[in-house]
Amino acid sequence: MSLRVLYIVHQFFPDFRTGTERFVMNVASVIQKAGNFVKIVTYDLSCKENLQAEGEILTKEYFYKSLPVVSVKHKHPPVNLHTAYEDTNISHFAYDFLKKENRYDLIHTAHPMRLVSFIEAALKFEIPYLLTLTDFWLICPKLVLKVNPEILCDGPERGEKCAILCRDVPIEFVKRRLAKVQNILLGAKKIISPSIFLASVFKKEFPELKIKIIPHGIDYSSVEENQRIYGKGERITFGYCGSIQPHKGTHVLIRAFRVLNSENAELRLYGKWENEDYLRYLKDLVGDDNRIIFCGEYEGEEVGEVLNGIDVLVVPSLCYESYSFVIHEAFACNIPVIASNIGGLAEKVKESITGFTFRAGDHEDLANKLRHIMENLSHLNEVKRKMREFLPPFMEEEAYLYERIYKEIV
Amino acid sequence: MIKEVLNLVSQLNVKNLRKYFYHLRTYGLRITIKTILMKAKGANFLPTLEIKPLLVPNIDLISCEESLPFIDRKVSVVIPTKNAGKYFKYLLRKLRSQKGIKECEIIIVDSGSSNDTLSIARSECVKIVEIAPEKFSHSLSRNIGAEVASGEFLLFMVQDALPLSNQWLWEMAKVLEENDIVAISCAEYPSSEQDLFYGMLSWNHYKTLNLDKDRILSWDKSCSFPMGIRSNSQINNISSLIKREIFEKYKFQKNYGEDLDLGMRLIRDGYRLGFLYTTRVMHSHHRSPYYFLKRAYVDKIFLAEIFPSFGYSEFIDYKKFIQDVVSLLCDINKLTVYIHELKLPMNIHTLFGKMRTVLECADGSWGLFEEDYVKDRELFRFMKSLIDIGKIKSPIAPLKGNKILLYFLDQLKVLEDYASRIYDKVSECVLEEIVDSYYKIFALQCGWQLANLYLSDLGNFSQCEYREEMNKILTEGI
Repeated sequence: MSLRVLYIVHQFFPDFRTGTERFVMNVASVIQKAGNFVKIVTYDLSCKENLQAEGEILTKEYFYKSLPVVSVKHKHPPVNLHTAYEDTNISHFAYDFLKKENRYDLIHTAHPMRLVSFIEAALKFEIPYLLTLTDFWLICPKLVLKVNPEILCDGPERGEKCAILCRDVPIEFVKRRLAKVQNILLGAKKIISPSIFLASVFKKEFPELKIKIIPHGIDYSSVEENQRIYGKGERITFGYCGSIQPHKGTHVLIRAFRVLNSENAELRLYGKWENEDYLRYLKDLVGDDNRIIFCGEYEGEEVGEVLNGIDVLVVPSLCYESYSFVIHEAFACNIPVIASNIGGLAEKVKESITGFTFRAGDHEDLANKLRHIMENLSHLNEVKRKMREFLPPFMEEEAYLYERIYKEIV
Repeated sequence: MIKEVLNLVSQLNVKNLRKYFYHLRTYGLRITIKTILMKAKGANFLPTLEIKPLLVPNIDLISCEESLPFIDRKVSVVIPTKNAGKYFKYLLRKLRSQKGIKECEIIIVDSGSSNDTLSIARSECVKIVEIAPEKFSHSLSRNIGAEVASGEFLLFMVQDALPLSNQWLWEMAKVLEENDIVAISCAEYPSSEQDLFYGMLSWNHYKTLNLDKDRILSWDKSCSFPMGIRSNSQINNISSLIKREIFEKYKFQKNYGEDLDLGMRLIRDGYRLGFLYTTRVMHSHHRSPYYFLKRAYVDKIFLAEIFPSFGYSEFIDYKKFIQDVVSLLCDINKLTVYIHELKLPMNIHTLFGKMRTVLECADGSWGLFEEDYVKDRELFRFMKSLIDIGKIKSPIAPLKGNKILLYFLDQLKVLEDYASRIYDKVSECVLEEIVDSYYKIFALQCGWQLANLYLSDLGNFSQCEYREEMNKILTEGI
């Protein structure tokens, strides 16, 4: 039996390529290769060309690799575009779309931001849907469960916490939004989370939910194993791979590295930056330290090569990460990871087995970890040996588990 | 006799009548009648099967890893190896991480690896048996591995397969224990690198042989027909789990198709087998058209050995076959030029309709017999060697009598059926997949027909001085 599956995701390739987009692309591609029809509906934040008008909505159809994609956008975007849980125009479009297209067997929602009305339309047409939790958007209007640069929040507590910590968000809006989200979650045939941590945050808010854990899989075709064994006094390259933003804690890493007084250490920073002020700030922190190199962005297929150029990956996030692809890619490449001791990072990085953790935001604690590695390379070798026991899932494995669930629910 | 008459009636559909009409025009009445009668022996006829469902454990694959009902059995995994690829170490690690089984012993039987296969196996503490490359056969290497195995169940795998969960082996073993069967195999799941052609082959294989469901296989009334036997004999060494005491009595015997042969011997003796379609193992190939030509050739030779009605040729004159096959390749090249000029995206059925029209109207001239179009140097060289074998300078007759075109069009329809389940529109990327696929379909047809020519005593190929040399080239390395 082949299936027809519609994926809903708030943004997609080629303009957006973060974890959620990669997850959708990986799963949809393998599900397609397994002989099923797939299509992706996404919201278009950038394109201004080749758009078709359908009432108040503009649409565009394109292919990303072999995946058919329909992107939609408002002619006149509402002010609450990114936080709204209702949208009449998208709702009309979603209804017409599902009516016009051949009947889908199911809808897989990977991120409903800006497209949440597709879920209502699915209910109207009695199309079963499942939902993969990918971040905190459903329960946090500010998306990242972070009150300000210093304070993290552990959930809205039915809006009571928001009333105390985020007074700029109206409490009634939060309560209505949470009630709506509860309906969406309870209406799903299955809810999946890639990490235990993300599931626990949702369970805390909605204890009645049954959430299954399927870790995201990675594309092993670009994985290259780092087989180096280190001897005393050898040069070590630390690496950062991710977007260069304040909440990702890039500055914490640079500060820690500056404290490390070793000529045998190097730091490579890979990733995209959009915030020029932050970049200037980082460059000030770097000063004339030529051991620190900004390497720019890299393509997905270059990940093996990039990770093979470093010896230890550092993930210094200051916010909760629901899941980290790069950590798993590092594990697959046999590269130990030093990560903040919060959220999904702490769940995955096991002390002295797959790497080390440090107190989030504490650059001195991080510097101690960097120093420990430089002074105990045999320990690094031991971690590399132990982490071979931990094999991150393949993207095919993830798709296979999803396909079995799809067949269960249709 | 009744079986053959029934089968003959089942052959009389519009599609086949058209084929026989072409055949009649090319070879005359006597040979056509003989061909129809050979077909009536039922090579491709799949009778209605009595589907016996397997009892499959209903488990929650995701959250059950630590709470699986324990299976108190030792499983020995036997993997023949030679220069295994990148995923081999992952296969070993995945096997090591299987849950719910008492013990999992891994044995590789290596026949002369020159890369890091053996060092990977040593680092993963695998039992290694080495045999000389010239001693390798699909049966012998597995039998040797089974001899040093100590498990109650034997799991035969290939070096490029990969379990897709840590409960995979438990699922296979549980089904083997809870059903009255002696062996269980499972279907393939694609890797992200699988191409459209391989997807089509797998889909068609499972659909045609009624293996697109979890079922028990046994000798039943469908086994009066070759396809019924094939359907019910499916042991698949990509991953097959078999009870050791049964295996020791039978062992593998054939150099090729050893798994199907074992399955046949078992069901003939009254044993039952199982096939799992829900539980899968990752395995797929991305190979060249020339590989598929050789593969099809060897497949056909093997099947004809087991089922005599598989080995008959509809080509009497091998020179005519060579002319037709080269003409078709040239016309496919022209088709490739044509479809790259189309405006995309396009409805997938419209595209296939246009492709058929181009091929049906082709003149069979030998334009565009160029390597660049074929994109597979080995296939092109082989085609050139066929021209030399046939000592042909130019087409003998127009394409209208080209029988291989009709088979090609049949397979193109299968590709259309499969591709249209996945795509409604054709993008540039999908178009390239379709082009790649039809060159492989061409190669597959060529391989099948060459095997038929080799096996047939109807035509003049038996007098061809290069017959055995070609057979040697096509059977090497498969």
